[in-house]
Amino acid sequence: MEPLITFSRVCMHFSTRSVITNALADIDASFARGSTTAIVGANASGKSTMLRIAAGVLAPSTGRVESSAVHSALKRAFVPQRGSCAADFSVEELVSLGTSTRCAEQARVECALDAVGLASRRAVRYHSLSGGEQQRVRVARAIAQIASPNGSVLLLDEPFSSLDPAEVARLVRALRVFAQEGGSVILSLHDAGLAREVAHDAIALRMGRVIAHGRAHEVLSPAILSEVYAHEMLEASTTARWLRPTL
Amino acid sequence: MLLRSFSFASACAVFGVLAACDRGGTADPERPSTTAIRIASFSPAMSATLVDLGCESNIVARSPWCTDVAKSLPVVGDFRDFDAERILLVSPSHIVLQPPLSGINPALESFAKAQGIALVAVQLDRMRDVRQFVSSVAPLASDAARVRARLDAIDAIPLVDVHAPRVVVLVSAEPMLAAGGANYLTDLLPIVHLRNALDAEGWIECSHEALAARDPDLLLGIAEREESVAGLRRALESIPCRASRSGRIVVVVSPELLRPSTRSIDAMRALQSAIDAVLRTTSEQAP
Amino acid sequence: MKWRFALLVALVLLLALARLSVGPHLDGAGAMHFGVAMPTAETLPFRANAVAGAAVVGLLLGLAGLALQALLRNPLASPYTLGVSSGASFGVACVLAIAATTGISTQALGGEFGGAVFGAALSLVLVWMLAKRATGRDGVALALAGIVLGGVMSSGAMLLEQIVPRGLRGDLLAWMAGRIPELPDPSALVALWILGVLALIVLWKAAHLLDLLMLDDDEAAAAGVRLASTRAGLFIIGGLLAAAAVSFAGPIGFVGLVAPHTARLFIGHRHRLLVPSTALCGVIVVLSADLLRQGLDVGTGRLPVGVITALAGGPFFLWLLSRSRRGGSEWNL
Repeated sequence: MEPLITFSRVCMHFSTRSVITNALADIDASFARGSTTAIVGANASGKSTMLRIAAGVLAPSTGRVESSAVHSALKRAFVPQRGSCAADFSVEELVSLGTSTRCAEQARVECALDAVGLASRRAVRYHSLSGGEQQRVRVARAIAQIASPNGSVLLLDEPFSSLDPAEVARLVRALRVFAQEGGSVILSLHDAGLAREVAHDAIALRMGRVIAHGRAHEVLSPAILSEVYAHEMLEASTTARWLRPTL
Repeated sequence: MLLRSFSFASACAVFGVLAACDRGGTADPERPSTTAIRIASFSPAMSATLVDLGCESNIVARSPWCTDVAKSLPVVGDFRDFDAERILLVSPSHIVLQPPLSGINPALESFAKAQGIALVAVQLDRMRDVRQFVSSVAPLASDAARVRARLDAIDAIPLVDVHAPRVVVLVSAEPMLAAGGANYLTDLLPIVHLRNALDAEGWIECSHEALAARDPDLLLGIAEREESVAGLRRALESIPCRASRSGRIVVVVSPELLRPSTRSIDAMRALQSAIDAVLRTTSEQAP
Repeated sequence: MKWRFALLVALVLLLALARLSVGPHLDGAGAMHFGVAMPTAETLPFRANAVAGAAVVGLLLGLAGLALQALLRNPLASPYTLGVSSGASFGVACVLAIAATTGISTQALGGEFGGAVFGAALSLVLVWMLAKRATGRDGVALALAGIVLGGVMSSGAMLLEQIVPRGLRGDLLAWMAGRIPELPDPSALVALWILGVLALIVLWKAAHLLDLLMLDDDEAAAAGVRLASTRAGLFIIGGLLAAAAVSFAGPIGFVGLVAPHTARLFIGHRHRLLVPSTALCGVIVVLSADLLRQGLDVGTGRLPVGVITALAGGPFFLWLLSRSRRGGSEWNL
């Protein structure tokens, strides 16, 4: 399968006046058409940074991201972990943000609402929804933003964090459909069990480095997982990042 | 609740408008003869002078602050703004105003020109400005003798006597606002044989200490209304200087002195006895 | 939604007609009343000018408020959050002070209009630079820079008031009350209309970007919004509109706050309808205030229009706010 996004030797550091924080170091990864990839790792291991780079909202400090999708809003969509909405749109309005009133686009909005099971709640105001419903609305918006799953990338940061099991199952089905139609789904998860359920492929990150990349059932083995999360336990008292004074 | 009161207020407003329509929508008001002298006064001081010159019946419109003319006269403008439509309605032949520092409003100038209204604009800072105003409105007054008398009265104001007692004139307690040197009050003070202890221009906002440092011989408070007298007296008493300690304080109610007009001369003269009384008693008390 | 929009248009037309057909008239005893008084050839130009002036000020302030609320993602942002009105009053005070101390006429210095334009532009440039130096130009940095600079500029204006002989108090205070000129400079009026209509078109064309801007930064960027240039554009549009309105009519308060919120309440949050509705609501607010002040005479002549908008706008905004509290969200207005 041809890759839709390829990371080659991607580094990312954030600098403030006194420190440089390395968020990602030498990431090599590729995400194939029709695949669902879970990025697992402890807190502050660089999962969100990797997603933001893939979404094109963050440029890597060094290295290259090659993508056929990353430059078009119709071919990639991103749902951050804790999004906010500054206007009180209705569910339907929010899902159709950025789309036109054309029939094809309206059909996409309908499909996306169906996919997350919110078609019956379309007139409800966003801010009166529960946290889980808000998250589903945002995923629906991302799905509706993409013109056609084929060749597109859907990036979700912890999409299941406030969903109940039934909602998780529904969303997983929707993501499978997206991947089957030729898209690529990349999602960050801290729950390795869920990742095994959802994803074909997985990337294990530790302190901004890839420690395993491959089929989900291989990467998410107990040995690797203990390495991924052990660090967090070992260094729970310190921050999981490297501090380096500016030169 | 708020909404209800809001809608009530708007209902009242609408009703008010309708009621006004009922009252006045009947006839087109008659245009008065344009040959008569009709003055719109945008300045309370000028209104006072015009009334003093016997032109009261010629004043057809006023500013919000003109207290010397009938309250029933429509308010059509002030030193800055004007209401073109209302001015048209009262069709004045003259507009008198004290322009602001920034000069006459160009819109008013062009409006007056287009409507053939004469603009009399004088900035009244000194008594000589009042004199200039009197001369420029002299043709409007029917009683030429009275105009002559007022001009003579201004000319008769004595010059400053450099040996006269020095006085601080306070016109507002909060903030402390005193008459500075280049001021019509300074011009008037020689009438009561005093001179101004301050010399800066205009109205001066100053502290108790700054006034005390001048060491005035007398403290004079001029109030617009009876209610302000107590406050002015308190402010003057709290100035830490010899005059306040020995009670050389005079506070009077004299709105005529708060507007530079021809009436201010007599109003100042009327203070003489009060000032003399204070100066006499305190000098008797002195060892 | 369509009929609601039509209702707004109808309301604007109605108010304009009302303003054209009411005015003062004298009764038999010579007392002045306010009521229906059909315009004559003589009075029509004044009324038409007042309508055109009030409408354009409302249009500018409403759109400026909307643009800045979108830029700062803050429902309490007003056209003056960026310090424009304080900057303009500082500019006016500068002109008055220079004229008073040097003897040059204010007209030679560009008049109060020139001073206001200069001051407003100065404050916008400074806010833009200050926000960059702080944390980049996100909403919080811009709002903070605007509020701080506004305070400094106000103090500057007050300082000038103090040091100029005879004081500018009357002048500056009268300017700050906000007025709709009945005899405006025709070229200024035309320029303002052109600016307002252009801004309306630009914002309306960018409605989908404004919608997406309501989302999280990352989400909006991934959905194709160029954040930096969109924000710069909104800053320029909002700042320019506010500066133009302030220079023309003085700092008329609450319009830029009330108009977008009323439009949201009435028409919803999608900017495609919200942009024109906000413009209409701005026009409605200022036209009604101007209409109301014609009839309100507490013995002091007409009240400045800024006094009316603040008096009516304050309680109205509190009412909006209490609704939003019940809705449980700051934006649920």
